[in-house]
Formats: sequence, C-alpha cells, structure tokens
Amino acid sequence: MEELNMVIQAQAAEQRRKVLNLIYLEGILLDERKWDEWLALFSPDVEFWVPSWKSEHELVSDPLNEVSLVWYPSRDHLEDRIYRIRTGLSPASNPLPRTVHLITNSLIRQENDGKYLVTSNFQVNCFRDQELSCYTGYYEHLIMCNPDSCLILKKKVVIVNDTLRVMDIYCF
Amino acid sequence: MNIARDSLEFGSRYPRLSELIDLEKMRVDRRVFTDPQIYQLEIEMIWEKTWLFLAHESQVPNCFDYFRAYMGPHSVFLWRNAEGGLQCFANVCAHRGATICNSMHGNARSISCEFHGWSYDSFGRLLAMPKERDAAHHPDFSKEKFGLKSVPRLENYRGFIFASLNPSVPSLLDHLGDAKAMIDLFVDSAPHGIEILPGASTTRFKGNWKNQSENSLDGWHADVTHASYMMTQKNRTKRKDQMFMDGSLDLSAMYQDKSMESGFYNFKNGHASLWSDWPNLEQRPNYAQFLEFKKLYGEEKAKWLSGRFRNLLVYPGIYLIDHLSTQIRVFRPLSVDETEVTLYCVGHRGESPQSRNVRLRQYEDCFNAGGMITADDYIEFERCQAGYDNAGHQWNEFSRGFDRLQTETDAHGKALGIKAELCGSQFEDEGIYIGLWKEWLRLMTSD
Ligand code: FES
Ligand SMILES: [Fe+2]
Repeated sequence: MEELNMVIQAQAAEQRRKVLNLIYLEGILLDERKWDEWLALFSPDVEFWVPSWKSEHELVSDPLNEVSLVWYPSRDHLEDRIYRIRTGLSPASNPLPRTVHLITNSLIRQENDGKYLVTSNFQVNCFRDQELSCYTGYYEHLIMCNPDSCLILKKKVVIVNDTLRVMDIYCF
Repeated sequence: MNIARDSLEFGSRYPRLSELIDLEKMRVDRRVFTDPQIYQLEIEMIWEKTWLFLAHESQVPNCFDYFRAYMGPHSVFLWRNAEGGLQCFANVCAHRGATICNSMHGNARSISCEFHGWSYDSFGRLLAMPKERDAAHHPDFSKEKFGLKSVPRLENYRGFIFASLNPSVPSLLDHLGDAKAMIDLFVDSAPHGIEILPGASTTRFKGNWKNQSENSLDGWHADVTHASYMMTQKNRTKRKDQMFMDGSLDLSAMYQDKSMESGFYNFKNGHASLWSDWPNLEQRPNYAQFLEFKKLYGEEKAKWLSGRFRNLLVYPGIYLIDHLSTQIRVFRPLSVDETEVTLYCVGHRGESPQSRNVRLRQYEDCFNAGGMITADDYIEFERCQAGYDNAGHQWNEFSRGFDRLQTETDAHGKALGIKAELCGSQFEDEGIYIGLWKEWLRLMTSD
C-alpha cells in the first residue's frame, strides 16, 4: 500500500514538473521563432486572452461585451497571427525583434482531474532598431494533461505596461 | 497672415513658414516634422488655440463623474457638478501647482490635493484646507480667489465634448462646419445612440503627431502597409473561419473592384473625410440595418449610413472612424518626435449580442493596440521620423490625383447637403491632405 502511494506521488510530481516545463518551453519556442512547435503546445479550442485595462487597477472581465487587447477562442486564430508574421509584410515584424522571455514565480494554483491552473510573472524583452522594450505582467495558463502529453487550454496575459506600440503575439 | 510670425526668428536656417508648405506643387518641407522650434510654435498656435476633443458624454454620465484628458501638453479634467452641469478644469492645484486629478476617471463629490490637502467642490470652489484656523495668511488671501481654473471654452456637438484654451475661438458649430454632416452619420448610424465600450488603450510612438493626422486619410498606404493583414483575411476566408468569415473584411476588393465608388472631402478648418463603398456589402454584419435604412431614407442615405466606410479627421487631433469597427482615435503630441494615441471602440446601444461580438472582434483583430494593423502604421511613422533628417530629399510629396482635384462637391456630397472645399473621386488620391496643411499654415501664422 505504502509503495503504491509512493508511486502515485512520484507520478503526480512528474506531472507537475511537466506542466511547469511547458510554461517555460512556450517562452523558449517564441524566442527561437519555432512557430509551429509553439502552436503545437495549444489545444485546438484554446482561449487566448489579453484583457485591456479599464482604470488603474481594473481589467475588463467580459470579452464578449468589453474590449480586449487580444481575444481569440481558437488555435486557428493564433495560426493566423503566425501566418501573418510569415508573410514578411508586416513592417512591425520585419525584421522581427530579438526577444527574451523571462518567466518566473510559476505556481500551480489549482489542480484537478488532470487540469492545472498555473500563474507566473513574465518579462519579455524585445530588441529592435537598437532599442530594448520590456513587456511585463502576469500569465495565467490552464493546462490539460493526459499520460503522454500536456496542452494549453487557456492563456491569459495581463500586460502591466500597455503603452508599447507593438503588441504582437511574440511580445506576450 | 502675420508676417512677423511667418518670417519668425528662424534666422537664416529657414525660409518663411509659408514657404515650407507648398500647396501649389502639393508638398511640404520635412522640417515641419522635425524642428523643435516649429513644434513649440505648434503647441502655442494650434493646440492652445483651436478646439480639441476631450471625451464622449457617455464617459461622464452622472453627477460628480470626472474624466482626465489632455489638451496638447496640458492635463485637464472634466467634472460633472452637483447640478449636472459639465465643467472642464485645468488639472492644477491653486496652491502650489500639483496636479489634483491623478486617476483616469472616477466619481467624487470633492477632490483634495494630496500635497497640502486643499480641497475643491464639484464647481471648482476651494472648500477647505488643513490648519485653516490660525493660518494668518497675507491680507490679500481669500478662499474665493483660489478656486480651480476653468478652461475658457467647452462645447458639445452630438455628445462629443470639445474644449479650447482660446477664449475668442469661434463657436464649435462654426469650427466644425460641414464636417458636422459626417459626425451626424457616425451618430445616426446607431438608431439608439452610440456608447464607448469599456477598455480603452493608449500607446505611444516615436514620430511627429502630423503623421497620425494624415494617416487615416491615407487610402494609398493600406494595401501595402497592411498587406499582411489582407493576406491573413483572405486565408481566413479560404478556410471558412467561423469568427472572421465576413468577406467584407477582405479590403483588397476596394482596390481591385473599380465599380465601387470612393473619394474624399476637405472641409474648412482642416477637417477632412475619406470614404469608400464597402465591398461585399451583403456579407457585412449590419446588412439588415442597411436594408432598414434604405427603406426609411432611400439608397443614397442608406449607403452613407452603413454602406460605406468613413474616416473623419476633426483637425488637429481626433478621428471618427466607421470602418472595420467603429472607433474614436484621439492623439496628442508629447514632443516633436513622440505622439500618444488613445483608441476607443464605439458600440451601438441596444445592438444584439451577436453584432456586439462581431464589432469587438473586428476592432481588436484589426485596429486595437494588439491587432494586426495599427502597429504597422506606427512603425512606418517612426521610419519617416528617422528618414526625414537624412541627407536627401527636402520635400514630402503628395501630388497623386493632382489632375483630378475638384472644387465642385460631387453628387454624393450634395446628397448630404455638404459643400466641400475640395473633393476627390479616388480614395488613394493625396489631395486630401491639402486642407489640413492649409489649416496648419493658417493657425501657425494667425494673430
Ligand atoms: S499644492 Fe495643492 S495643496 Fe499645496
Ligand atoms: Fe494604416
């Protein structure tokens, strides 16, 4: 009995490690501009949400009635954004900036039924035209795991400094 | 024209201001975008002299609501007083000059300065100050003299609140002239009125404000600067995307289908409007509304209300855009090479949840700060700013359509009852900028 418990606990720990790795990997793939591998981390019905600010400390809470900076209800729309970058015809992404995602303080906040809610802090450094811009804020990832893989069901990005003029998908 | 100002103390470095603006050849000297001295003069002669948009009345609906705004470099705030009247105050404490309205918006019966605690009521009167009892002020001091300073002029046209720092500016109605007809369309296309949807965004770019003034009149750039967006849209149509399947989003049709009419109007005082028939009108989300308008007002008026896109510049710093999404774009100069832009998504009151959803999605996906259009414009403005001072060409050229410029208002304009100063029939034509540069020169050289 005790042995079985230990095995179960070890599996759970392994699962949590995979979940956190996924958060870090997401940032790395964006930095390496491995767009297809990045897209593959998301569930086809992923919700990708960057809410906008209503006042100093209040975010919009209802994407169907309020304005978001980005709100997409499926991976197809993330694919659109990658498609657009790949056309090479968006001045803001040509040349692409060099980016560095720093993701810290990741914590699993809820865990049930193979679903994990993870919050993190981020800082994304973008270097373009001899200038470094720094995007900073909080992530909330909802991740679904089965025995062989984990997928992102939801990514919410709260951007703290929302005055930067380029806010493309690689800045979050 | 004030000759003294025209020849200004630019020394030998510059010709007269009027020589920087060559409307005959349709070109402007690039130094108007880069020279700090000209910039200072613009603040004084344009931003402190003419009417500026502050807010839409739906942003300050109730007594005691306040809303912070800017007039060029100056911070001001609107405050609805206890009797429901709207006032606009300079955002500065009468005591020693601290700003007192330090939040974007809110509701307050009184506002206290957080420096020494002077507090003001909603009429701007100085109410009280700490340690008032044995203050032993100079005999000249009296509380009545130390209220908040009102901005000299505050007027409202159809819910759009404008102010001016210039007490003798002509009335707002006079200032808007026939541009009023375009504002009317913007409001009347919403049978139950318009409202600002929650969630504005404010961004800054490193370029001169006049690039933004020109840009939403620039029909030529869109299929180049925004080619990647148009290709993405085509690709969505191909894969029958559920959310963005509306074929009217494929703007490339505007450039290819020559049966569609388009053009522009220059109004007096620098205001201008760019318009074009919508491609694939029957696929637009508000097609039912178009049919309704057609029944009520006939085809031409229905087209103006919801069958055409319309961008209106109210010179110098606000656009009303009824395009892919309906929006207000307000901007202000921060320095000769930095500009701040605030975007508001405008909704139609009482529209169905489905229409609201389409409206929000189009706005975010295309125009909003995280969308696929606006950042590309900002980057091109920055490239212009970087290019202007490079050794080379002196002039910004905008003579496309020179041969087609009309001083007679076309039939579509006449149907609206407007009389345009200039009129164009192709939406890529650049004569559309003549009016705003004429106004620039008029304001810069007036008394
Ligand atoms: S500056 Fe406002 S109370 Fe002193
Ligand atoms: Fe543009």
